[in-house]
Amino acid sequence: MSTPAITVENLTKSYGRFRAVDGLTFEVESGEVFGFLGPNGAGKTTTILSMLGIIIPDGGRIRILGMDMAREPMKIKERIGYLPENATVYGELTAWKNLEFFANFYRMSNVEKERRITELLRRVGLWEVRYRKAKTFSKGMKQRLLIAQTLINDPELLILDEPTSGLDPEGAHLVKEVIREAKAVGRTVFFSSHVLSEVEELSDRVGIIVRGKLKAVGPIGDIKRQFMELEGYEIKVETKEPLPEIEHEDITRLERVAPNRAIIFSRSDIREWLSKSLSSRGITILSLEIEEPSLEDVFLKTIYGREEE
Amino acid sequence: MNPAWNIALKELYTSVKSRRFGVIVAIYFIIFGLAVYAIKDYLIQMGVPGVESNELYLWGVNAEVYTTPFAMLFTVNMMIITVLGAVLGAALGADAINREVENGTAKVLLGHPVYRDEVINGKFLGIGTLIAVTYLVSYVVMVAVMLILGIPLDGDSLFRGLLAILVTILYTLVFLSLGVLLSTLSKKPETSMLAAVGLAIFLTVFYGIVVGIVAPKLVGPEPPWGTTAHGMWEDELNAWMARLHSINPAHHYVQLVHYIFGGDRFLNYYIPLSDSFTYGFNNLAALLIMLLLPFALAYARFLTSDLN
Repeated sequence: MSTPAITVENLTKSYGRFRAVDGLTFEVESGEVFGFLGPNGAGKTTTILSMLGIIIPDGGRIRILGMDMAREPMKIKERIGYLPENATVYGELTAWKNLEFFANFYRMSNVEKERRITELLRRVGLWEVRYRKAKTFSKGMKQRLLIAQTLINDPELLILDEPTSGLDPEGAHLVKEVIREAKAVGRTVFFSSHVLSEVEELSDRVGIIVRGKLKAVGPIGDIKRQFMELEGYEIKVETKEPLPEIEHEDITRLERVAPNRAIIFSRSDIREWLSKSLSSRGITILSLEIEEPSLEDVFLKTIYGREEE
Repeated sequence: MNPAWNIALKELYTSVKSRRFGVIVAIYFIIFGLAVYAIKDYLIQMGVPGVESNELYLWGVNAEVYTTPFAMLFTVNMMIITVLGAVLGAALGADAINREVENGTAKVLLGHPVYRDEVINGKFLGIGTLIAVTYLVSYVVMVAVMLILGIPLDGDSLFRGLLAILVTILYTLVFLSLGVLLSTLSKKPETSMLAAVGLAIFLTVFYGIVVGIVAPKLVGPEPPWGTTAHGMWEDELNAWMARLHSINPAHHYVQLVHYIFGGDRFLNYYIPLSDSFTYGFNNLAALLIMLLLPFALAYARFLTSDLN
């Protein structure tokens, strides 16, 4: 088994009396795309900044690409790319100079540097404006330049904090492409986002953080299954003949939407039992399926549902 | 490339291309040029230089100066050079760190393989180089204007003038260091800028007045004139004034410049440079400490703070 790209163990960080991250533990496997979800103030950015050594955690251990962040931060940073939230580039420098400045932090020959900068500026669509000062760029253009600086060292691991925040559709598409391309070549991507559809579309696994604690982690399908086990199943049934009375100890509610159609709310997956029961009564089943919750349902219930408990 | 040097070059590049630098250089050229022009008649007509006593109560300095055109240029314009140097250093350093944090560029920067100490070193090195270049260019302009106006210059004065410029660079770096410290203490660049410029003006303009008020209060009531007690009171007063002035970089700077252009009445010439160095050693050491102490505090603060 390969070394995890990110291992966070019992991470804690407080600002005064406010505990921003509270004993956070998770792993991100090498080559996967991990979506980090949570409401504002949940501790996402604090976790990311701790992972990069930009803020100093109160406790816990962080290993990135098999190296301890506290001991070998520079070796780690040489192999990762980081896109911060609400950041900007150096306005007084041109797009080219900005990338050249960041490229100078890595062991690259001048030829390699020039090739990489050219490639990235073309990739993010800023080649034509490479000699313009970044302060004259639109927000979207600045964000694209930031994406380019994230990729300057051809990183093995991408850490993106709200990468599509404030981006126009073209910019957001570019970010998604970058994530997909990274995954296609076996790189690891860790990204936080508020856009649930984006997370659902791109992530292999997600982690949901609420008030500094990880409430759920795993593949989206597993999280949904766990959610259904906890919150109940929603089974849609449609038959050829009118539906007879259905009784089962796990059924909590039954909504008839038509004589031959109903939605059954159940504590367990009773599809097999239902199929047998209806067939034995000579009822032809046209469809019998579970209505999967959306990631938004899971997310909202995880945040607000648990708070009520 | 060394990360600190990379940051320093970036800082230098952006500063040189910025409007702020253009304004600063223009101000310096105008001031140094005007400083020469304003006293050109005096400098041309002053004839053979002599040794004169120069007392600058504002900074608690009293020295014998050999009155060559170069020495006069510095000592006559001491006020403007002292105030401008302090304001320049403080203003350039006051938003060095917190501006990066506020803009979010600090996070971008630290996402790359850069240690925090390299960031602060790079910033200081870049702005420091900018200050040094500004002064050295101003020195060249000053010499050029003097030559154009036909003011007599000699090699010794030129060398001592260069030394005075180097001391001025050191003095400005002291205020740069104070500015950088304030930029690590305050989250808002505007706040640190106001505080830094305010501190620079206070130390160079008002502090001497405060010393003049506070020192007699510390010594106690003045005994009758002409008595032994009055003599002792005066000694005590001078000691307190010296103590209070000793925490002001402007005092050490002005004193050093006066030692550089110091004169010997017996020889009717400059005192030897080795004597200037001996007399000014404490002032030089004090300026170096005043440069390093705030920088060390800024360093400690920046290295241990959360940049979120």
